[in-house]
Amino acid sequence: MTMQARNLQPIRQQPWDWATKNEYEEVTLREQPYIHGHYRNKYYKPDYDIYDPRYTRVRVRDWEAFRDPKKLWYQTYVMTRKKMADEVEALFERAGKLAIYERVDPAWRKFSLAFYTPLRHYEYAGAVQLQHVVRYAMGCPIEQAATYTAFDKQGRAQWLSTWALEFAGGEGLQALQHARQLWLEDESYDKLRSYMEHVLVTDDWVEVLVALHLAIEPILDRLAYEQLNAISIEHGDPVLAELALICSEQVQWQENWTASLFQLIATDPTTSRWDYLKSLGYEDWPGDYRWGRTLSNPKSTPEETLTNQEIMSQWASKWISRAIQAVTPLQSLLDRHGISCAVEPVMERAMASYILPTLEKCGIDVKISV
Amino acid sequence: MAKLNVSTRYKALTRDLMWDPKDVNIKEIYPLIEAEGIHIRDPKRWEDPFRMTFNQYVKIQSEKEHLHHAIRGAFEANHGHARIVDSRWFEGVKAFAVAVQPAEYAAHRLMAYIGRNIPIEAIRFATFNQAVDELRHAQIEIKHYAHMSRYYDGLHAYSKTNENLWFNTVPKSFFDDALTSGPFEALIAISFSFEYVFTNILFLPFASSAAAVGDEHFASVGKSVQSDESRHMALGMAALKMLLEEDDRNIPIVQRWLDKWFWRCYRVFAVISTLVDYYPRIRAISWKKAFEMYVEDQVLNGLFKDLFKYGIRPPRHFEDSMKEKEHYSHATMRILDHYKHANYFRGFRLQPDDYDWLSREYPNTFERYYAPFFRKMDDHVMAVASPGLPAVCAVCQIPCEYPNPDRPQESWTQYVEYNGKTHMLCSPGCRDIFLAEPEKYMQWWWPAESYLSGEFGSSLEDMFEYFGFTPEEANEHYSSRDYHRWIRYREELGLDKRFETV
Repeated sequence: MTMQARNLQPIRQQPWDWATKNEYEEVTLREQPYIHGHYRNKYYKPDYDIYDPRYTRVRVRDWEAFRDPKKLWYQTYVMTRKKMADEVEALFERAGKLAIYERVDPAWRKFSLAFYTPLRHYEYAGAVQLQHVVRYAMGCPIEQAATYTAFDKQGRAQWLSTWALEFAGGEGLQALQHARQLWLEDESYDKLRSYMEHVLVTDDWVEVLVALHLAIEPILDRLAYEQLNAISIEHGDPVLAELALICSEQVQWQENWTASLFQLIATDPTTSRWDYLKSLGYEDWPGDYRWGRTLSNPKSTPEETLTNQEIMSQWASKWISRAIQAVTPLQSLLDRHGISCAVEPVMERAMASYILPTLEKCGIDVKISV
Repeated sequence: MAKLNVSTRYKALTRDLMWDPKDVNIKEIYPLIEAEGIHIRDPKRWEDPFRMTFNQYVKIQSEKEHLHHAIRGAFEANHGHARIVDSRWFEGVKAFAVAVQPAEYAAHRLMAYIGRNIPIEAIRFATFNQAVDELRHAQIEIKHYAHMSRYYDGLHAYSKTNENLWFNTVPKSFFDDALTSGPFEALIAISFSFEYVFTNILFLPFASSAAAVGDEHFASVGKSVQSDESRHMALGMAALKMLLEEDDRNIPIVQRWLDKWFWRCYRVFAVISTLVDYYPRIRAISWKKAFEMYVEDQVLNGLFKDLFKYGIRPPRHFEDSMKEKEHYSHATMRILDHYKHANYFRGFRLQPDDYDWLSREYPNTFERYYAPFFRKMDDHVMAVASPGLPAVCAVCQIPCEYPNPDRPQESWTQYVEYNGKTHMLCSPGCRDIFLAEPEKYMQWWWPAESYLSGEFGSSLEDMFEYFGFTPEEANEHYSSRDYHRWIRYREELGLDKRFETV
């Protein structure tokens, strides 16, 4: 094989004019068109372009500069998730064969159904609002990571549902119904449900990412998918602990990529939201010739007066405070079922080990008011 | 435990996950839900068109990815590109690369928009699966072109080409039209009109031609993509029936969308007709026969008969698309030949076997109306190039150069006065789309106007820089450097040798 075709030289070493280092970059960079959109939205923000930097308040010099630390593109995404799906199914199958569910401590049984099952609604709401991010975020590198994160959340919502159906045995459907009722009516969930409702009406896509991945999830996911693992095993339930391990693998990735995005945004000193055009090679672009004639001129929208750090600081302060308020009442659910686990230290650890260091890397101060 | 049956279990996993909000107004969560006049009474009773859970999705899809990328790997390692029967095929693949691939990406963003804004869980999980599928299609297609781009012209700045070239305004404006519509219209536009009515004709003939000419990689792209489309088509049908059955007031609105998007889809597929009839040297089927099979029989005569009971009639101007089937690929190829000096995929001089095949498949039209045009290139391949800029249709953005299929010597171009300006449309179909939403279509971006206003710089070099390719990458295939390179690649591999057997 080596003797043939040695003179069959490619005409270029790189497939594209823009530099790419790996397969992920080959199929991710410059996917989204940035200029010459044909029409404006008919209903939602009718003055905005299809891909418009004004869908967020923060400004970034180069929206294409973001990289997913795991470099997930479709192929690597479905292959890694297939492995997880196999693990989850094998886990449930083994649990059934070993009749583990029958040996679980009754208090834990009641608690875990009341705690984990309603979280399917929490995961699902996050997935729904991430689809808003997928539509309006700037550039494929960012929205691609949001797409897979949303799909993971749908997956976790289904894993939790499957777990509840298996765990509750013949009363699986009732368990889901009951959990929905708790989510809607129980006081322990009131603030969390309300938090997710407010996420669902948050318009700025970067703010959505802050609300989900810098506030509620670092706290609640640590409680649900890490902190309770040992307690679960103590109560004779290794199944939930193992499921949580698989979930936390997804959760760690969503934290990693959003943290690097927040850092990219916060440390960007760009003052004009139109500067990104330079990074695309459109620095001489005079703007769309239609601007000011048949369409309004986007550049007449006033620029933000706050820096990215100040904007993100406002968002982080608002959402972290609310997240603490949303998770705190879950203590009563633990207490009610006699599960000894204190929520407050979990929140403090989430702050100390993840949220504050991430904010520090971003150079952001927050005022937490609870 | 008592096992639930598949359907109950699937419902349990995917339904009742959303709730009526207590602390915010539901209209704030779904601000577009009433904008289009669609009425939804009890969406809960709708079944998912294609029951597929997260686990099933990632398992099935990773298996498909594994198979496809193994074929791709073998094709790349063994220089499959040099082994096809004729390199002009790659000019057609380039058209697909820079026009269809960005459309897949646009569909990805669009499906997320639909799923976010339509609060029907049965539809939402399917739209979200599709949003992820569309990203798959964009990326497996890109992998094909990334390898091609190392050996052939025209693809190395495909994103810029997509943003700035006149040709790309055709597919780009189509998806931009859907992206800027309300969510229900976008659903009907893409899931029903595009996926259900037209994707078979997009992928099946082209994938068969790919296999016939020896492009195993592209054949696999086509088949693998089409295996997802069956889910998308099921979604389109379910969505259409749901809107029609939910409320009678939806029917005229849906009819209007079907009218608009049938013709919009039909026109965006114009170039596909040339990829079926012209670019492959071994053809699987003609556009005319494919259109009869996939659109006339299956959709217009099949499906729309079933929709009659809802009060839905076949889409406006469908007769025109049937009349045009004997002209479509030839008139479109003529347009491509007129402007091939400013396009990233080349035209080519027809060969004797091409004339034979086209005359045989199109006995009523090809020799009489079109062959004389193509024969003008026998002496000089640029003989038919049009100087200057084309006048393009204000809706589909294809140059207004279609003949009236009833009187093929006459132009079909239509003129409309709106807001003190004359607008040109390529056909009565596009004219009526313009007239229904003139305020939308007067926003279209016309590259020629940008060029004249100086946006593309002052010289031709500046303009090509903007287009993302050079003049050497354009023009005619058999006189191009791509063709000569391909011959050299074959010589390197010994494929030029002929082995006699005695």
